[in-house]
Amino acid sequence: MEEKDKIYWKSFEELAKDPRTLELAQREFMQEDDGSDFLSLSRRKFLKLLGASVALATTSCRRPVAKILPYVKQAENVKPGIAQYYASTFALNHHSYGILVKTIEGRPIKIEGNPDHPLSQGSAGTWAQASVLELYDPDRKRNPTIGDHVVSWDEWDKEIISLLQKSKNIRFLTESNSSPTFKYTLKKLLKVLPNSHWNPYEPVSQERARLAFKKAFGRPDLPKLHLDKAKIILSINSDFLCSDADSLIHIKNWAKGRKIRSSKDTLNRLYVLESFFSTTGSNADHRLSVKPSQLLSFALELAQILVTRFHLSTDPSHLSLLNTIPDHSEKTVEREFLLALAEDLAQHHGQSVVVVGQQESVELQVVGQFINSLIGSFGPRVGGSTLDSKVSVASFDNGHESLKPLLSELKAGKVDTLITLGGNPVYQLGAEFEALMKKVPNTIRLSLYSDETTAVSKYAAPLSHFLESWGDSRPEDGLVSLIQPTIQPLHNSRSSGEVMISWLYKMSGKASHPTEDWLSEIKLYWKKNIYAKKNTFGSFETFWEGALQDGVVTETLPLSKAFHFNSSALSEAISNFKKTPSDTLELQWTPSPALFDGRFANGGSLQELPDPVTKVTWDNVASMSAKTALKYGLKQGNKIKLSGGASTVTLPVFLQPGLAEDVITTSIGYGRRAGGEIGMGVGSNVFVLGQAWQYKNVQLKKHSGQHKIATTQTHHSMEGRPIVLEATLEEYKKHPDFPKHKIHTPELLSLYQDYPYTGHKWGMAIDLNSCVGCSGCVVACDVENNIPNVGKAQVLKGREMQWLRLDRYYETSSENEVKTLHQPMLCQHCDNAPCETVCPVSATVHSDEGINQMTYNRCVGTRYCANNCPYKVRRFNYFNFNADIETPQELGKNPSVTIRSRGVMEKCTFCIQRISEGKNAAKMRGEKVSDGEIQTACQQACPSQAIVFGDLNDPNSEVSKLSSLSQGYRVLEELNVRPAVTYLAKIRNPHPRLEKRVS
Amino acid sequence: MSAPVETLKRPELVLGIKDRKTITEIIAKPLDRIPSKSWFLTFALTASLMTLGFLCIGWTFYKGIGVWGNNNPVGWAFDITNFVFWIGIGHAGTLISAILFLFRQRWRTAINRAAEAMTIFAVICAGIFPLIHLGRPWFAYWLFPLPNEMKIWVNFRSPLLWDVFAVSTYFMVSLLFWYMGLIPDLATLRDRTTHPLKKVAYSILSLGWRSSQRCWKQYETAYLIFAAISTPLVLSVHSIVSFDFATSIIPGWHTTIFPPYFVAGAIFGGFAMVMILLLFTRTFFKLEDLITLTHLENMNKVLLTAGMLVGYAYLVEFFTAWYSANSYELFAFTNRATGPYGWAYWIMIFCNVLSPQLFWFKRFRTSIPVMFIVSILVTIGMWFERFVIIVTSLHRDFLPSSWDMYTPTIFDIGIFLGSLGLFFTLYLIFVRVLPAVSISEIKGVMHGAHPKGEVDDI
Repeated sequence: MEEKDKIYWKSFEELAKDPRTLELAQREFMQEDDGSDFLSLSRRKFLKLLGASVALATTSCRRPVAKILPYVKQAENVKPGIAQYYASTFALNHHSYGILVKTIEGRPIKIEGNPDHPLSQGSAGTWAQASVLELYDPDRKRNPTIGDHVVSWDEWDKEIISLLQKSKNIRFLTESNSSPTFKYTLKKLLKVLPNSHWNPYEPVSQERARLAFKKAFGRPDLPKLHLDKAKIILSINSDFLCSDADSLIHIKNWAKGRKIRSSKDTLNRLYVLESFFSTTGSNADHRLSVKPSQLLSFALELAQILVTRFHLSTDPSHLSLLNTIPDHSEKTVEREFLLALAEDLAQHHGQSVVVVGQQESVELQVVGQFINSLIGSFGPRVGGSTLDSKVSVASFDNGHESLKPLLSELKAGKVDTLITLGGNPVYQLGAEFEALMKKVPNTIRLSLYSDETTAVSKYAAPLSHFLESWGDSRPEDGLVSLIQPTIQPLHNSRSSGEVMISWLYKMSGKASHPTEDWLSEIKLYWKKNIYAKKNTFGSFETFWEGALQDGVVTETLPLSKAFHFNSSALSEAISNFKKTPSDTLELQWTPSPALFDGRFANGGSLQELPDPVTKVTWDNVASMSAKTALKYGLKQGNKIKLSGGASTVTLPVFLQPGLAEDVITTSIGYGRRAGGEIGMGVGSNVFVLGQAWQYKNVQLKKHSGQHKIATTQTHHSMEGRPIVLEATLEEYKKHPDFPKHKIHTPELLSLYQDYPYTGHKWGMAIDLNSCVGCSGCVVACDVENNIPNVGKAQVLKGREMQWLRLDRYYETSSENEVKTLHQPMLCQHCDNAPCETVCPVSATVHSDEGINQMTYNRCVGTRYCANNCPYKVRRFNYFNFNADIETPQELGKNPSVTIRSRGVMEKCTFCIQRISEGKNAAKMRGEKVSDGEIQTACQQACPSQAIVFGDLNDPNSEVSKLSSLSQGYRVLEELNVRPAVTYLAKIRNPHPRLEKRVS
Repeated sequence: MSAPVETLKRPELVLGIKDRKTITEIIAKPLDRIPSKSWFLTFALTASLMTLGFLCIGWTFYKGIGVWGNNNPVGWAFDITNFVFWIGIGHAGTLISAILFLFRQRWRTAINRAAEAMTIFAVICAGIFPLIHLGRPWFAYWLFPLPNEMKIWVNFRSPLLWDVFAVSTYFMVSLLFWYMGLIPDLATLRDRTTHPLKKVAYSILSLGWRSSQRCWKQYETAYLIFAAISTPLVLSVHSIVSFDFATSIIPGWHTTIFPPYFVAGAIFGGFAMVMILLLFTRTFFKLEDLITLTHLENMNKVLLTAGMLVGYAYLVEFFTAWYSANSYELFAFTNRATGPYGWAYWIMIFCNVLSPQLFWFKRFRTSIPVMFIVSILVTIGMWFERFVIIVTSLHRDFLPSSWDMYTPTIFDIGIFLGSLGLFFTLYLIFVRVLPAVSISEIKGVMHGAHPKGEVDDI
């Protein structure tokens, strides 16, 4: 490919090789200081350094003076230092949920979930948390351009409109958008423009799921999943607990079935059948790892068992169809798994659900829905079925299949104007599409960044960030919410709606188009379509204000739909099913838990967010089992070339337990060639292989060279230490206080009297049973506490700065079965803190409320505290990691939290700024701080509510109650450091028969 | 009359020299000459290393500790290893001058001056590291309990603070003790020199010494008092340095055996370094008659004893780890010997425990090449001992999720080499400007120095 020769630039300065910009670009990352710059010193510099070394030894430093200015006129409603929250909506692909945007002095600085929004319930996921950093990303596109020239919006609009009016065949290629007003306005625009057509496209599409539902039930609507109503859950290659766009609500609902508060409680049971190692799989009670090509065979076998053994279908055609599948009578591990699973599914009729990954083949999804129809997932059931027969979630025909007509038109050269709105088709569709796009005479681009698609578009304009623009979203039936701007656009950008309205208005004139701005358009749409159906007595303005304030509007639900499984779909699936020989190498893609489909690639916090399972940062890797690696003579970090589909991709080998033999998995979203300095050149773009997600007959070739993989965890076994304690539900019911038997702590006496905490005594409880490892808390902590990213080179050196990390341990009981344990680890705020006694300058001390405090100003950086911390949660600023803050990033920093300089130790503070704020607020009210009033950032973000913070001195607080639960324990309690964090032990719910096999 | 009793003769401490003037000549003459070519070559080498070290330190101050290999679990590595290494070396001088003095080990006279000088220089080298290992070295003075308007006090519970006091006290006392011992010799130099500048310098430094009876009486008393003050310091400084580790909770550090173990190690490492320096000094300045094989053999005996003590400590640590049934402790020690830094552990065992065993044999004890090689090995071994204690304990502690590896960078190595350069540079300057062997004391152990046999315990 010649792609390598192409130069992608992010700004005109860079194109013109402006030295300052180039320098900035290079400074973006903390380069690994291997001393090369030291060794290549010139004579003059050498002498300077020599002089400076002497000078440094003899003089002290003074910080540069910077002036601050107050408001000249106090802005209305803005109280300096007091946060204001605005309800808005975070939309991703087909999904969206309500958020609260925390703004201080007009700057959004943090995203929280909207407690009133049923899809958020107060939590916000990884991507929503990181979106505030995206807003201030200095790499965003800043001005409209035509070719290489920066132009004003008016000029740009004028040019575009004349272009559109001249064009004969206009095609819109957009990302998925669940906004009703967007769709409505776009349709209007399509009507105005002759011969125009709209194609939504997403690499993570709902196309196959829709097709499967269409075949199975005659309708492409995807019913809403209620995991909280399920007792038995089977996931087939679905990562609903992490990397799916709608995972937030699924984590929440799943976790509801994993809470144990007394020995009478029950748990749901999660079976996972998958070909990659997903976060969902890491939380499974039973996980079976198979090759991608075998998934369908296993699903069919399960259906067969359900029909032949448990007689769940009365339809004779089902039986005869399933009988055509070869019977697996041999007693294998897999067979045992399926039998136990089938038994569970059959016994929990109506309380079970099968979730199939939406990127899986239509056949597999059809079989999945067939099983759902057998086990009564669609209801009817009192209390609601696991798959909602009324509510459908937003979905689109936005996959590769639906794109084919457009591609053939492009090939035929029929399209003369192609408008790409959002998304990034050149990156996602590869070189073929790039070549086609280049042939199109007029290419118009609207995007947040100057990305790969922008690079081949003639007319490009910056889109506003969703925190800068108006919008709305309907993620599922009966639920609609508004997106409201919380800041003026930082750059010369417009939202997609504004652009469309401007075109519509200018093309059709005021007479035929009454609204001239996007907000009025949204209001108009809402008045006509939402307010009108609401049947409220209030005025529209009242309704509108209410909608803005609440952040959510409910609508009347559609009628219940019937889900009659269409047998012909099953016969089609079975006839298409061929048992493939299982000896070829297969490749499986997954969306990245950090970057999704690559759109978040320029987020440093996300790049540096360790993958929940592999703990890899700043890379996508070719994960394979040790057995597979051995077979191909590969070692960790070896570069390999994988060819399958259209092209080849080079990836580093990563040894991952819990994968089937001859399976390589990797995540999409990496290998960006444009769209920001941070994301460029990180990992490899697997989209060059095509769009198939699964590849058989992959050719593997060892490539020369070694790749350094930056993982935040290098050891994966607990070494038999009592760190994460666990038991099965059965064991727990027999011995509810089992942690006490696992850690023997003698009664420890002290010569000193214990400190009497008379006021508050802050503490935390972390429920390991409901934590799924999604890492949303880590990003929330990053944003809340201004934690810098350090770059790959520093992660490789073990200097990542995240205050909160998720430890992940593996346990292997048999070769195929890998059990995973996730443990959020943060400062334990020990009452006998080992870090406090060793600091020579008293920079870390204990507060009278039980918090281990860190005084940055006083810290001289001996690192003794970090050495003496048994949990290794202290983080040292080895360099000035904040040196590369580039305008406008400083606007996004939390003003309540100090930016730490180099040479200073830092660590979790229990969000001390939030505690102070909460205490002040309570004091102003003249009341005591109520339980739950103060939430730490990690707690607030956590979708499964696994983290609870509060006052341990208050016996009625949630945290006190949780801390006194019998399954509670403290990590390394035997050291007598007296941590303030209580972990609730993990309690698994294995099928009794399968558990016996393991033991 | 009874038959004369045959007694075993003590070995002569001064060989072949009959009169006292010759002693003065042998020791003081080199100070009058222009240094030799080989001195200049060596000096050029050590000064270059020192400059390299200061450049690396300058770069560290400019960029941050990040230029080193230290990381999250391994917060201390080469920095504190070097600190403990140099502090350890700094122990032999005071041990020789104070403890051996109190025990009337008169063979010490030939070596105490060089050993004391070495102590001073080693403590200077050691003192650099606590300063430069700070994340913000420009606030190093915060480690002293200075009165300030914020009423912020230092944390007296921190062993690092104890270090500050212990090391600075030790440095001051050692320096004064050394200087005091120098006074009679400085006076000798003053009286000998014809160079006007040297005359002034030596005159000031010798504090008006007139070699009178009164001078000697007060000198001897003061020397004894200093020896008595220094003796506990020899034991306390390294005990306190070991508290940095012993009072922590990290497996492999949290050990009660550390104070005596560190002191033994310090004597061991210090004697090895004294040996290296003496072998050079003796050869270059032709002092074979003053620093005799007897001296060297005695030193080797100390080395052997200290080596055995250290070896015993290594064994006891393992025994305690096993006996305690503490899995973290046991793991820490197993990891030392068999983990990824096992090579460092085995270098340490080879150098510190095995190589001094040669000194059981008189042939090796009196062989210059053997003792030179063994001393170098012991120095290497003692450096690795500190590396093993610090890095292998930190890199794998309680939670396996945090385990990581430490790799030194060129700056870590550069600063270490720089400290070696500084040490040897200072020593080279010392041997050119001050008598490397005590003129006055040597005269006191000469044959016939005590004609009436007042002192026969030599």
